[in-house]
Amino acid sequence: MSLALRLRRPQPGLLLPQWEKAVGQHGFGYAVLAIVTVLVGAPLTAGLAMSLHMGLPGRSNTVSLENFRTAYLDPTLMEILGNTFGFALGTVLVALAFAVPLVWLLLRTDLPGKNVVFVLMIATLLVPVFLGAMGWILMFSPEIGLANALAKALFGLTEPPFSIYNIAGMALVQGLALVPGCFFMLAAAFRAMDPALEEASLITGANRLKTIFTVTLPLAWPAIAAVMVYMFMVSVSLFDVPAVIGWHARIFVLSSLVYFAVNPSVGLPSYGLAGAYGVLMVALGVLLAFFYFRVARNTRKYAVVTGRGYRPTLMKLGRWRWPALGFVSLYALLGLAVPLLSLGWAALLPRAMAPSVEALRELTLANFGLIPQYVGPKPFVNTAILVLLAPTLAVGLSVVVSWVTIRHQFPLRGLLDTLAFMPQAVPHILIASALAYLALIYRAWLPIYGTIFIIILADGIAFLAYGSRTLNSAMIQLHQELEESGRICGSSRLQALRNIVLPLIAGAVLNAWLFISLLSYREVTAALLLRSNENQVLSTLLWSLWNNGKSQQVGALGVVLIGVTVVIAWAARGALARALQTSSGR
Amino acid sequence: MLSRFLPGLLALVLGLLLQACGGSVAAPAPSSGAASGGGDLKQLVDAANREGKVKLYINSSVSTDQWLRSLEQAFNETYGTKISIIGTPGGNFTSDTAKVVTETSAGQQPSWDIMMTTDAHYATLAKNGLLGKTDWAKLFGAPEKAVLFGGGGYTFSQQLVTPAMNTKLVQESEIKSWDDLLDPKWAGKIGVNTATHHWGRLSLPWGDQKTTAFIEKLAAQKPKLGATPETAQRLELGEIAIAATNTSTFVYDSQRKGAPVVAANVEPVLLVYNMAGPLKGGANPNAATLLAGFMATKKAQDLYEQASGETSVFVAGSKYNKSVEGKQFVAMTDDFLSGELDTRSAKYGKLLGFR
Repeated sequence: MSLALRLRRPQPGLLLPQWEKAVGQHGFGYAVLAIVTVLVGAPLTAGLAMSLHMGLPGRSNTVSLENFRTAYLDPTLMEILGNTFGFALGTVLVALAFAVPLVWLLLRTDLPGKNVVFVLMIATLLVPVFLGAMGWILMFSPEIGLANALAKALFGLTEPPFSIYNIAGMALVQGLALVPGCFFMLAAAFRAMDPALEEASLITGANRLKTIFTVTLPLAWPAIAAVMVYMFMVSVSLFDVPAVIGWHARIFVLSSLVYFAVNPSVGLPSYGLAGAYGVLMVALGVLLAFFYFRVARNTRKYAVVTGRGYRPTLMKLGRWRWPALGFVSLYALLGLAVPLLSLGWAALLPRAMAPSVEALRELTLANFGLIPQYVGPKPFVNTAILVLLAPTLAVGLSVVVSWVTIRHQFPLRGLLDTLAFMPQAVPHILIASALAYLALIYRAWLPIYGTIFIIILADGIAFLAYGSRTLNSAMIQLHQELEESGRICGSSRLQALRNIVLPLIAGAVLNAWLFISLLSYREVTAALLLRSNENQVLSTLLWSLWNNGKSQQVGALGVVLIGVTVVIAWAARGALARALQTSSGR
Repeated sequence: MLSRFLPGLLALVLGLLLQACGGSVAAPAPSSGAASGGGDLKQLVDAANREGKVKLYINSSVSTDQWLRSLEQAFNETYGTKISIIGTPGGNFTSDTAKVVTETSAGQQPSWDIMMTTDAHYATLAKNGLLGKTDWAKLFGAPEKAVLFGGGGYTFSQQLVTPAMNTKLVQESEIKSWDDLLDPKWAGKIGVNTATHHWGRLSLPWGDQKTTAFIEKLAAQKPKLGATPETAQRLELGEIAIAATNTSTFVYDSQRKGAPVVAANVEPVLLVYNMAGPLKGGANPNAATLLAGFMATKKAQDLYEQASGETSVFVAGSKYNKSVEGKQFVAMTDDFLSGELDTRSAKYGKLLGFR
């Protein structure tokens, strides 16, 4: 009997091997790792496996390094990598230069008119990036730019003083387009900060500026690092601005090479070559993930949400109110007005025209009347399903990934975090083509090929990186004592997640959900590759129109969609603010 | 429990993936069988009517919902059928062609029953065994010269490709030949788009050597590079004075909107064939064959011209037939489309600065 009892209840570490003990202790972590490995690892492995084959997936048995030879022995590769680095770094710097002050001003101070900026920021996310880029060309093209024409007329210049056609111009346009994304990622971290820390700094004699640099920014460092890492990878993989602005001046970046590989003038796409370039992106992604993990692992240092209650207070700007408004106005002019006005400009003209008196005479509403001719109800229905389910999948997964990565001593948390970041390091076209192929051959088990659900899955995987970075930043701010106290009171770990952690990070969850929803609305690369007659969404429709020279129709439809979104966002802003407020650690 | 299965599970997943990506070529899904491979039209109409629908992929510049409904109505009126046309506006012909090739390689049905794309994309379909054989001339009265790929499809209309210019910046008389593009006064004012197959087509009458020399000189003009729609838009805006090549689709669209854009009167005129033909293995092969054939009728030709401004040079009395009368134009051949067009286009693209 006693022997039987001993067998049933073995002494820890006596009979079980160490790794089995670890699995028992971290079963949930391993389960999450298994899910993420399948979801991310499947398209990732398939995408990388493509790089070892010539031709389309499934068409060749022969393993070959030809794609790597073509990609890496290209004599222009180093120059292109230099362009890519300059563009990505510049983009991140521009985005952070605007986003960090904006998030502080809009969330931590008594700046007036915050709701308007917030709603307009959401609206700009709906402007197709290629149209926004055209807006910048209309302003700063050496040949037709309005700013150049004005400068020449006013100052008697013979040469145009501005040009958008350089890496700095590309970084400015792309960086401004990424400000809303950075804002959403940083918002939760800034909102959750205990104002007592800043007040203590002020009481001890530091001025406001010093307080920002010595207290506020260091506390937000994990969130800022997450934004830097994520946005750097986003900039490496983005295609629109480099194509519209860069090609014109023969400036190519890594994403241009991926584009040319999968969009040859004739013949079939070379996904293998794109995969070979993708390996470079994955290597960069792993490096960045390592850097980020080093920042994020020291969670106690950044924990500002503790068991001690605190009341949120807004810092009074006082005499800094006007410079602050000036800064927000500068962003509103560059980041909001240019893309929104270029969309409106395209919508109200019969053809592409540079701003002029002649163009103003031709303003028309005719493009709006044409909308029913080229859009049926199906893309609207599919888009609605997509923007509801894709963020739900991505955020649901991100919550558990971040919880395991940040809150548990899970031995493979570095691997889990890196895997969750990888979808951003792999070109979306590769994820989509790998998913399409896997869905095709395993159609009998998972019949999602050609349906809206394959796009939802692709977006859910692709935006896991964004969701997990955002939620990592929020989790880091929660002190371990909160969960521990719950567990002392008898809660299981999952109960602590549901009853303590989730309510405290609800603001970040909502932010991530909202932003991923907007990203899903805008995502076109994967949706184009995965589409069929049944699963068309608005982004693919807009892209098809643009690709056939119908920029006016794109503008008109874009204006209508933004109008609807602004009305919804404005109506929901009160509820949104309340939801965010209740989740700010109080 | 989990610990026992986790390594095995992961290995299984990775194994399946590696196998999936390097798997052997599967035969295209068997066609459910078109009723006519040159046989009776009545039999084809009946079989198509039984299918009741057809999934069509077509250039988005024509495929508005309204136009598709007009096409459907005219189609059903012509044959006395009740067949729904489910349209997908074409976004990227290259990747969508790859998509159907991949689908059929995996033993699945292609997403569309018929893709109305270009001759170059049909060459890819033909190479991958996705085109069947239909007697378009006998069944539908399509011009013999319009039939390609051994009856796999035929061209029902074409895009004419020439240089185009913004008349506010360039006089029409300044570009009278392809060589006029090489005049140093246009340095930095020319736009070249990603459709480098246009240069591949030019090399059919000119030969590779002459075309290469021409492209090298054109590259020395430091042309502005861009995607096709942007280049057309920059031409409308006047940011570039000349588009080295532009299709009649974009020129027609620009002119319809009142933009100061005209096509240059040069020879040879390049042709890009708009093709119709059913995809092998499609879900509705008879309806697809019937719809493809319908595009040869006067009713369909008029509808297509109304939407795109394009007609067929091979149809006597049509707009394009008249416009190329007495001119040299470049008609494509199966061999050239399936052979050298790819490699030459890629080479010229690189010379121009595309990677």
